[in-house]
Amino acid sequence: MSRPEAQLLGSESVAAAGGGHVSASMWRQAGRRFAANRVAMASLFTLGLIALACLFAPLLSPHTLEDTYWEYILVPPSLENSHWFGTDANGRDLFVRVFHGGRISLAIGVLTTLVALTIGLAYGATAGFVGGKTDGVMMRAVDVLYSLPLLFFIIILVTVFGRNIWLIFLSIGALEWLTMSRIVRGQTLSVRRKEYVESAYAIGLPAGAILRRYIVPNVIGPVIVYVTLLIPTNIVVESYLSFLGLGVQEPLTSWGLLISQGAEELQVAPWLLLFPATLLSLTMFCFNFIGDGLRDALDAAQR
Amino acid sequence: MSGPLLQVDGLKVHYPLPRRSWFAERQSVKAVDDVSFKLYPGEALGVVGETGCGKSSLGRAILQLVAPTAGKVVWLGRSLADLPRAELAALRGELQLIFQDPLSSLNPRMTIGDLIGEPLQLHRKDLSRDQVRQHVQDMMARVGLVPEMISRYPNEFSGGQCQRISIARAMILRPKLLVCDEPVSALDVSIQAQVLNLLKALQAETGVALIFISHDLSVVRYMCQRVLVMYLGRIMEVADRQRLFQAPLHPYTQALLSAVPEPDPRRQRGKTIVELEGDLPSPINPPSGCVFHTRCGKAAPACVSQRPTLERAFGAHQVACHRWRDT
Amino acid sequence: MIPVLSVKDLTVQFALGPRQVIAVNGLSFDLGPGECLGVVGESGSGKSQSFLAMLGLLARNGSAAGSVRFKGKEILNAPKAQLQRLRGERISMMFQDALSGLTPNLRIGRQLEEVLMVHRGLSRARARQRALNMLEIVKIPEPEQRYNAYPFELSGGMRQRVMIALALLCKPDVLICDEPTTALDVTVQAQVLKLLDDTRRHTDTAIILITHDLGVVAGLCDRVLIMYAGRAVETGSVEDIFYQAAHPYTRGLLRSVPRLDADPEQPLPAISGHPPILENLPAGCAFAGRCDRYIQRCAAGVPELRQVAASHGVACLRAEAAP
Repeated sequence: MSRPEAQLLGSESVAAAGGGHVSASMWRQAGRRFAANRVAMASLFTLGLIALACLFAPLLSPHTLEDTYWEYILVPPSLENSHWFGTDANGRDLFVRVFHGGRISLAIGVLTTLVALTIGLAYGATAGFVGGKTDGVMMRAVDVLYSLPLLFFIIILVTVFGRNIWLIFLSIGALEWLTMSRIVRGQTLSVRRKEYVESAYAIGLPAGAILRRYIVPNVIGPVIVYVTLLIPTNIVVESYLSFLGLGVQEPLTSWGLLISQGAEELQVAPWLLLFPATLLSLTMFCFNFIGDGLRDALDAAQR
Repeated sequence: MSGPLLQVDGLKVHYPLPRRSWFAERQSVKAVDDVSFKLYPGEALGVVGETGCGKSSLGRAILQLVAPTAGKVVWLGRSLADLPRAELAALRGELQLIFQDPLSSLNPRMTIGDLIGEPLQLHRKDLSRDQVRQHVQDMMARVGLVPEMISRYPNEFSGGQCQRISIARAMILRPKLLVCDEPVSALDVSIQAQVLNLLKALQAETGVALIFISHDLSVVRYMCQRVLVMYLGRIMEVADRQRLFQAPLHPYTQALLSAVPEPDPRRQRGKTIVELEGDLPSPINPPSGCVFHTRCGKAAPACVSQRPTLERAFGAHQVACHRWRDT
Repeated sequence: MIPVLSVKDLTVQFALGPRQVIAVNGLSFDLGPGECLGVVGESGSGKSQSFLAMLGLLARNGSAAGSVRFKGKEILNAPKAQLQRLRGERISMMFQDALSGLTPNLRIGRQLEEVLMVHRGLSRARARQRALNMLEIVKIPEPEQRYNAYPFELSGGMRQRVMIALALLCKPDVLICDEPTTALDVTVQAQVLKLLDDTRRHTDTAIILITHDLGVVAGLCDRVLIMYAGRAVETGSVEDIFYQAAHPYTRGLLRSVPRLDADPEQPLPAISGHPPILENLPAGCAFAGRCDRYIQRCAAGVPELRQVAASHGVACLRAEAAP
């Protein structure tokens, strides 16, 4: 009798009997879903290109960051004189400056986010997991810090310690972790109440192992999404600091600084605004699309 | 008969509520209020009651997953709350539990093998990795899962299969007590019977004692030899299956039983349903005297003023009602 | 007798990416005035989707084909406005979760009044009178006081009563209840079922009761439709289904439920295996893999629903085989 055997064992074993089905962890499933998302993949590719360009493009040009050419002030972009993106009011090559600026902007975006992530994850997970009064005190502290205006805070830091690129990393990161810690705490609170955490207590798992095996892996999904959205935010924060003259100092440059300088020369040399602004917007879009893609992929895989 | 496995003595679980103002008296939800009973090895005790009767809190307090406000849980002669932390952790292998929602009681980031093997890794450090794996696969086969699925994740399984995984995880250490909190309520009808039969077979094989918490009286009747009926945090009636379903003494039990819809049109249409009046009172301010008096058809003045104690009616049949003799 | 609702060959499909999943396949039945039909099935049987489809409430990736006639008039895939009026006045629906059926920020009396003012064109004063009357009919104690309550101030059972009041306000021809008591405790469930039973006795409203609970069906329904994997596998009077079940699935379901009058020491005869997934249905009878009467012919083609007695239809080749 050719009874449909597989059916007896249920749908899952049908897949197993069909062969070729490799069991996938949530991450692999999410990865597959993400790979199927064309916009997100295109963004990832574009972002990779931008990052590579920032790293290597300045090497292609015969010019350096500091070279000034008095004979080429505010020349428009052209392919003939090796100033592919034109030059600025000091006669410096914009091609080199835009990609150099990109290095700084991306580095600030990534590093400040890492600072925020480290502090926020540790702080938020602790508050959420311990709960009770500890949680109350820790989160009120966050509320107090939240009420400090970012600009005010940075101006104080800059006037006390002087302008310094590390200070910028630190101050942006030190403020952005507040939101991160709130997100992590919220997630931790909701995960902590899940029955599977209770089952971990029931088998007598120590608190450290519960935090490591049960809480953090289940909290990390939304956090990663937030990270991809925080990087562009921090790039923008840096650029507005630079725009106000509180950011990166000459001769170093960043997209924000380039945009602010370009805005001054908008009437005479629109390319000075066009190139850094385009690259900045493109980067923003890419990060946002990647963040959206990750969210969709993780949401679906979590179900 | 040997001594009791578990003795619950005057157990209270009150959840404090936030104060309304600085001067207001601190209020609390009285989820479990003065509950006492004994459980013997290998016994299956049903705990029935409706939403808010405290049956889940009772199960969790027994396992020390919520701290009891008062009273004692004595496990084989030792009070669980007084045990040093390390000893309690070591004991946890003997006391296990399974939940209602099969999917949310399994960590989505762990494979089936890790989920089922975790208690072994924790409590049986003498076992090698291969031995753990072997045990896990044997256990999977026992609960009706294909052992080849060991490296799959919970979201690839149906509700019934997830419940089998939970059972395997809970049973792999051969516990002496398994608390089941509504284990089949979230499952499809055709799957419920499979899981119930599995639990029953495992109980017969291993001699594990069950505390079977459920709102479904027919399921409890199938699973348990003794049944405890709760209402608003208190025990209303405790009796053997036979007596509780044939001759319930407490008006609440009678109402509960009459309301069970039976899959038999002639019986279902022929019977009279004892209707309860009004709504469930708040567990923050439970009624005075007998907590059931506000909805009881037989309430007398004594029921309002005096709290009935759980008294012996016939043999092991206990009831907390002033008027059970008038039934 | 002219049926109020006549369903012919209803098919519901969902587009999942490039694939079409058939959730309901060739469902047909008639519903007489004042009749109570129980629709029984497990998750994925298509029991809810068929009725959502009739009322044009499918999710966006769903589509329905076939014919649904309400008092002789085709309503399947009718224009939105027409369906909306129909839903408000002639066919009411109530769901498992009563809280989501009520607007949280409006007092319940207001919500009841508004239905009457919009659909019946009554003045506020008259609407209030009718609404209060209705709250009395559904046995809400102190209706005058509850009239001004917000939904969250009521208990689960009370909310479900308000939902019934809301559903019956316009004296609909059909009341569709999707798992109306699943979220309720047994004692409250008994009250709500009694209310539905009274409604059925005292009005001409036909009731469709969608549920997985055979006990609820046994107490309330005249006729029963058993669904499995998107198809009707058995249909008949309550007596046919509960005492003369012919489909192995129905028989299995009835046997696998613990009963108050059975010997608890006897093991429950469970149905083996799991319900099939709709994306991956076998070619023949969907129940074949779990069936204790399986023969090779069962895998060859989907069995037709055929009459085995006057009111009793079964979709099984082996319906007459000895159990």
